[in-house]
Amino acid sequence: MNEYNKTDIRRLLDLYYEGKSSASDEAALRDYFARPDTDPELDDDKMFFNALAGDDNSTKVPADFEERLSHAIDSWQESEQKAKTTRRRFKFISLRPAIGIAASIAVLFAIGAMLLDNRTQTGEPADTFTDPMEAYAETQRVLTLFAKTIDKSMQGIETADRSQDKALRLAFEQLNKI
Amino acid sequence: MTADEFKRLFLPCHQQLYRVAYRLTGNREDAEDIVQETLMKIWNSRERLGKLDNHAAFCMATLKNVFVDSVRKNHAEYDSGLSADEVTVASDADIGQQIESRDEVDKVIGLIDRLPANQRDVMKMRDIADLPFEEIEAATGLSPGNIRTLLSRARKKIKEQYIALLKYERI
Repeated sequence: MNEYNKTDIRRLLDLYYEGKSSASDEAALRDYFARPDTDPELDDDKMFFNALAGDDNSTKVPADFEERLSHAIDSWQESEQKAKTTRRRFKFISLRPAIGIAASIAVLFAIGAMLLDNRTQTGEPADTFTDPMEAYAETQRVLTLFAKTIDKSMQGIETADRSQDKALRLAFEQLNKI
Repeated sequence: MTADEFKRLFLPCHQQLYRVAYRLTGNREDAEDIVQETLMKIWNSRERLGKLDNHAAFCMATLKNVFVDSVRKNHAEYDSGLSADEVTVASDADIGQQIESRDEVDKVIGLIDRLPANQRDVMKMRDIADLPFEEIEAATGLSPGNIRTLLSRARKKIKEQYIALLKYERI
């Protein structure tokens, strides 16, 4: 509405107070009442409309609000990064028991194979000794072999963990690119 | 998008967001909450935004959505909308006492906040947030006829009380 006349404005005001005005009607009323040269008989409506429209600078924004928002944004980023690290660590830990069990079974097979081999070579049962010193020496030998086998298995687990970690890291990098 | 980039693009909008949020909520704490919730919503979806032409307009639209969501959550408290018209018609002196000497925006918001919940929310969504009727219907579950009736009652009442308040202050 380029030219405002009293009749049109009053008609729009009636529609407004009946809740029947359109968005363009209301925009026209706000535009009219923002002008300095309005009908003095509509002063009350003008005050009401201008109070409702609000003055953008009249409401004071708390002085430290921007700083607090800035800290909040930093904390959101931090939370995201922690969540990514936790997901990666969870995947890392969850396969350990399975690898540990597999390694233990392999160790048991290795011990069994060694004992069987020892029995086959000597031709007599290797699990019984008449001489206590021989029995002690054989026990030491088996335990040393057992310790070395365990050590090798743990090295294998650590290698597998490192490979798994690398694979997961590559996977996350690819996912982040999507 | 890093936090620093996000702040550079969206933090400058916080003042305008706060002023509108204050008019919608009527108090500092709720206004701050709604602004923070708005920025968090944008942060969580920042990788899907694409290139924005007007960051301030996008922030404002998001803030209005956050406000509408809050109304939608609370609209179960609405009555039928037409029978429980419990506008407190206080005397001029009561209004003057209860609404302290504030600027004009605060006075009007203070009056609107004293309306019944359905009238208050409908008037705020239409006259402050400038939302179309379809969005108000979706948020409140009220029919178009009910919305217009609530709006009519609220506008008339607020104008009457606001003018009475101004006359009281001039005494």
